[in-house]
Amino acid sequence: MPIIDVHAYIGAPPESLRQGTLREVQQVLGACRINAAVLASGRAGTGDFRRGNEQLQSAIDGRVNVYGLVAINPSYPEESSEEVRRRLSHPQFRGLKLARETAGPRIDSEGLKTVLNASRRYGRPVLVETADADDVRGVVALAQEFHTLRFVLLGMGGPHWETAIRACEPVLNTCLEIGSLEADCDKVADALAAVGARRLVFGSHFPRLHPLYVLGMVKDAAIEDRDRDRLLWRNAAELFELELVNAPLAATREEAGA
Amino acid sequence: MVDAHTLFGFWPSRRADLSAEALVRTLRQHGIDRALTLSTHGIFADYAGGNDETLELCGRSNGLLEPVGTVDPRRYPHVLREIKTRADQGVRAWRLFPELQDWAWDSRPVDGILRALKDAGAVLLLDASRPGDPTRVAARTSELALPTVLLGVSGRLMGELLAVLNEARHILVETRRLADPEVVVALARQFGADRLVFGTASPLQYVSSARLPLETAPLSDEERALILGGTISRLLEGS
Repeated sequence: MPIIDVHAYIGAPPESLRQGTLREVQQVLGACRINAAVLASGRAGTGDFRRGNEQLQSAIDGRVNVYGLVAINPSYPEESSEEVRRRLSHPQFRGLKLARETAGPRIDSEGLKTVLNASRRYGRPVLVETADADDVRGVVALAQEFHTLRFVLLGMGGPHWETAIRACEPVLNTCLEIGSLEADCDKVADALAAVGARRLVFGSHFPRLHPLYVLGMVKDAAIEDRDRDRLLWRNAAELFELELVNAPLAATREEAGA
Repeated sequence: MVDAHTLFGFWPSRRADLSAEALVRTLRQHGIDRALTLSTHGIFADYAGGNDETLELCGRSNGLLEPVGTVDPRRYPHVLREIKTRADQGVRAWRLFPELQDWAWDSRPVDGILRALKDAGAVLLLDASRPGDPTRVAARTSELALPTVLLGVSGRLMGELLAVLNEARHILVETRRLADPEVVVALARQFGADRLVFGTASPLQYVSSARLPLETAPLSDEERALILGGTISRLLEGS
């Protein structure tokens, strides 16, 4: 069964023992049998998003089975809109990413709405880190306003995952990404029962977390194998329009013989 | 394999099956040989009644379950008698719940409780998942050198954890939320695998999230055996 990781990082947080390089991502995710990954810039999440996006693009350019997320910062709406325009013209960038650290007091800010208005035309998924119930409600409000876009709640609201499940159930352009420190049993099965098998995706948040920690949730969840299949790769492939290449994650095109 | 952290009973803050049957089923499914456990009745309602339930279940578990006692400082000084009574009944592991019972770790009743636990030869388990918790717990227990297992600590507190483990030899860490095998290995190499304890918070949390990083970490067989049960067994036998 393939696995697509919809959220890992280039760049490690300050407390991490990891380096956060593409090579490390390749080694660690590869060891966990993850076939493809959608990557965000760790630097962009907490600092200069333009430099972070540039570094990410340089890292993944010309490599197979790795894709990028354009980091945006609602405090810089015009600059973020320009980043979206610029990066989404690159074939490997497949979505937008809003980090909690730079989102401001409210997820559904006017700055973010400006960026989303400029991004509608691209039709790419919007991934938002959700750490609590307020974040969840903010994303759901945005999803209801920008109903042609698909929103992915990274971390599924953290400890407030029950709120995330209930809030997202009727809002069909939302997806739940299961990766967080909250390994509550059985949040995966509960989410599946509420939002259905097509609106769940797997993200490792490596190196902030580790793929094995999140894969452990999928392993133990009381769900059918066909739903596990959807969660681990099929939904992500459809959401981001990915085609897996039969080659190691982040191999160069030459190595992949593509 | 010994799981140092399980629960049974009713969980009020979300829907979860923490029945004794669910606990035993989960332990058997994952090949866990023994588990420390306590009744949630002791957390949320009545510590003495909860300790009765814990001892009753452990007594008929054919060695699968070992009791963890609990008290609530809000009933100080009655709790001191409870600690002695249960220690006389063989309870060696104890857990306190400031994060669920809304009392302060630095409050005066805690002095007497920690002294009573030390006199009883106890091992203390305690949630320390928030920034600053490991430091506060280590400081509070250092004078008595009470063996204390920090539960729920994540790699996000790595810097604090390294400082605390370096200074406080009586502190151990549950591996459940460390998440990354490299973090487990780094701690084992720097401080010894006998400072790490396997726990799952089952059946409230997924066992495999706690277990997979340990199983794949490049540890020696001896190190892995210590973490997966040797350490906690030695502590309980030696206390």
